[in-house]
Amino acid sequence: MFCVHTFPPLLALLFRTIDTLKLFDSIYIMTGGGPGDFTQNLSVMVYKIGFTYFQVGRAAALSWIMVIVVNILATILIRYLQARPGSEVSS
Amino acid sequence: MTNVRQSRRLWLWYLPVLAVTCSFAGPFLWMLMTTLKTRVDTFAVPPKFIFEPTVANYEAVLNSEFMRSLGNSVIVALISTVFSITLGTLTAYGFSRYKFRRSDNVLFWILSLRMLPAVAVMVPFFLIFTSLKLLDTHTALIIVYSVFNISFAVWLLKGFFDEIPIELEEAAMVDGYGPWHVFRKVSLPMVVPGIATTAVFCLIQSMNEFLLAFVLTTRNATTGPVALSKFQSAVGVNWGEISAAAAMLVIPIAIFTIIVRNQLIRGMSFGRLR
Repeated sequence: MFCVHTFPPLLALLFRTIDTLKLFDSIYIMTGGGPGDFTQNLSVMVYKIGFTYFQVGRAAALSWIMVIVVNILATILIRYLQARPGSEVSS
Repeated sequence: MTNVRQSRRLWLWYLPVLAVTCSFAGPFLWMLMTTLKTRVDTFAVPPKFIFEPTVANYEAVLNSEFMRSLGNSVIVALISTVFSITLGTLTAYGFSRYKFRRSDNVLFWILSLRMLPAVAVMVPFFLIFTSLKLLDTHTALIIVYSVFNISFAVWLLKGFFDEIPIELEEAAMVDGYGPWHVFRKVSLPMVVPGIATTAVFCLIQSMNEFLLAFVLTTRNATTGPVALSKFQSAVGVNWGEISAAAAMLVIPIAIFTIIVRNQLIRGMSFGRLR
């Protein structure tokens, strides 16, 4: 009983974490990352470096780092999906 | 005694539900209210809930460039949804019915596309479409949205295909259907509700997508959300017009959902193996 009620929030937590890491539109529209870089996250930073300063190579490198970070989280999520009994996801 | 306490506790559970509902519906209703306000009423303190409605905001938006962007948004979203549903259905059926070497890993690879941040692929997409001379065209957006939607569609539809009992397909094969006809005449009609659900989700995602549309378009193929962000100008933000435009963005999705509503309902009462 305890497990049943505790684990789905973990799944939601992981999903939301990944979503929030990717967040771009709200931040960009509302503050543009400003003032300075106080409200800037990785997504806005990559966009600014790539398309405001046109350092495309650096932006590409940064986006690779982002993929790695998201990948780690996604791996945890997928492991969890696999481990759950009765899930259609199995390997 | 216990019953009373339990019912009281049950009642307490409605408080967070109410709070969440208000926090979601509140901004939306506020936006709808702002569309009908004049500029003075928008900034009134304390906020006015009773005011004289005006349609000037809608008039201004209807005569502006925004309508073309809205049209672009609908075109791109519809075509990419058709693409991703077609390819997604075929792929999902393949994954659901045929096991091949490492098929699970391939499936996870497809899912990982879903988790990929759009920012990470923004730069390569921009460079690719620059060299293909496809920047600021509908084609570019359709391709990009299809990439993201197919992975989603495959996963959702695979679940629906998995739910179909294999016995039905075996029975059809005994009656002399080939693999294609089994898919076309037995399995496909049974996942129509699933396809409708997936289509609604794909459409919403394509209509909401901002970052890639913002990067890949400049003037001709701007989508609704991008045009919306351009209402913020150096001389200030016209909140009435921006809200009216945002309210119009909701309309295509609402229409589409109403169209496929019958399919969504049919899914609940559909007779399975009896």
